[in-house]
Amino acid sequence: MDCEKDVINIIAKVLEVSPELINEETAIGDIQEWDSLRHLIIISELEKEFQISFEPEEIMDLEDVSDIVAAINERKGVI
Amino acid sequence: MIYQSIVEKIFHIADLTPNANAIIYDNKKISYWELTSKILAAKEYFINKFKIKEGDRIILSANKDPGFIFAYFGAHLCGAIVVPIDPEINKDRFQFIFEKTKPSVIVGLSKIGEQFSNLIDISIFHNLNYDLNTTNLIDFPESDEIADIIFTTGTTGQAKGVMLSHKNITAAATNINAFIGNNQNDIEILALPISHSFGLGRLRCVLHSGGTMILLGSFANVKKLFREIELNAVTGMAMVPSSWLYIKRMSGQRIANFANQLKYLEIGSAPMELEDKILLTDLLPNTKICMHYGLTEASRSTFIEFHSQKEYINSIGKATPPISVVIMNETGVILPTNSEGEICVKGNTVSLGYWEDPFLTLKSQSDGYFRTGDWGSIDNQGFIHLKSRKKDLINVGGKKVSPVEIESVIIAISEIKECACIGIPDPKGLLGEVVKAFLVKEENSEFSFDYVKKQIEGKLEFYKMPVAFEWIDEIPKTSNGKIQRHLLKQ
Repeated sequence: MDCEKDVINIIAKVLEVSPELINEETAIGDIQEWDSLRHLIIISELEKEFQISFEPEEIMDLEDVSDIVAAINERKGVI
Repeated sequence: MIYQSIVEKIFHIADLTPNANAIIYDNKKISYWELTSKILAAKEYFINKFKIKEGDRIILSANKDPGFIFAYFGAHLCGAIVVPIDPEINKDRFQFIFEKTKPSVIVGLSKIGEQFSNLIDISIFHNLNYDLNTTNLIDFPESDEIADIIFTTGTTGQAKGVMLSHKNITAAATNINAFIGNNQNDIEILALPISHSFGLGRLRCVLHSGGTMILLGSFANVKKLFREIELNAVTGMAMVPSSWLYIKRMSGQRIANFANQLKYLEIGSAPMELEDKILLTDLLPNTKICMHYGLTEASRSTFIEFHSQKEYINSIGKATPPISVVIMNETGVILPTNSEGEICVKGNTVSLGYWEDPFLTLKSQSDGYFRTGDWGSIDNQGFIHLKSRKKDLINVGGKKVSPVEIESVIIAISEIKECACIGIPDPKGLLGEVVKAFLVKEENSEFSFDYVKKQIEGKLEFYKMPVAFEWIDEIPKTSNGKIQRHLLKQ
């Protein structure tokens, strides 16, 4: 199951922007509102929503929405 | 030669090294020559389109964008006063600043300033050009003229407009550059916001020394931050303690990969845990790690360098001439060594006072010293030890938050009888402090914390939102009704 839409909705909610502004190529920090404080909230909301816990090494490698989606899919066993 | 303003120094550097890189943004390089051309174009634009004259105020949305830099120094060249504000400012605070400063132009803030006719977009400044060959004599601002009004959060929640002269901001840059040892070979990456004194101060320092400033949106994307450091051979950066906690959480100890590259690191705006100071010292053994203590009103008053002053690493360092720091008692008497009292600062970086508030200006000074409101002592070696910040401000990831502002929003909910907010250590250990709200319900009312959260959503910037709540029977107060926040912290 692809979680891209859910991920985008969570990010948009935290950033208080329209989900239409975000797509799989949107990189962390591309949108002005996406600062470090909000990024921490996004990570924590994603962990809660998908009942996973990112390792520090994984977090460092996340650079855009597609990376986040891939990391969650991998965790959930979706290929 | 002593320059009267930062903008004058920038033009001098452009004469000497016109092709040197001043700014790098989005992989585009802006030379000092181009920077001065853009600054002159911005000046002409302000004068021709808005008839800006000396002393007029210009509200400038402090976006991390070269357009901000062109407009900022262009406004200074007109003799105008810049009021830099956070692009994410809330409506009430904006309205307050607007009424207080009566600006002639607002740059940026299209969402919030839409009713104002003299509202322009920051991108306009990207496309303006000026033929430098036509330039005759440039009239630079005088050192005693007001350069900026920076609105800071006061204890009452009401913003205070700190007036900084060209002398103040030039002296601050000169002093810091001397302590850190900045020069034209430095390449710094700026991930801090420039709407706050620290970030804006770094921008001034780098341009004052003829170095190169790389603008990065924020620390959010640490992978990108490290890539930029590597690609651009960055020699220095600035961070607040929570930036370091974030970098550590996101990347572990990978900053050590740049141990032989980073010449300096400047830290400030909030206290840092001893273990983090030691960790950074270990990870970056060859980097000059400078931490400052200062306020918007008295920028960079003291400095400590972690390696060379290791024994005093838990102090806030020393004041270096021409800055003088003393400890005073309540009546303004200077206290002897090792006595505790209020930290007071005198020198060329100390603000002219508060905009249109002569009473507060007078109250904040004593015998030529600025009274910081912070508590501490000076030891035999001249090192200053900060004991507490007298003000009740909450420091969320380097951003100062007034509890009174949050309380006034919460108390507007009709089911809430009383409320008091304090700062508590961030349970996740990342932001330093976060906001906790103590609430007293009106009798016979029944509702959840989620209800409270929903009611205040959108009325406060997100970092001001309480993350912890607690019901309480009564808010502890003094006999004259002042909230005793220290009792809530116990």
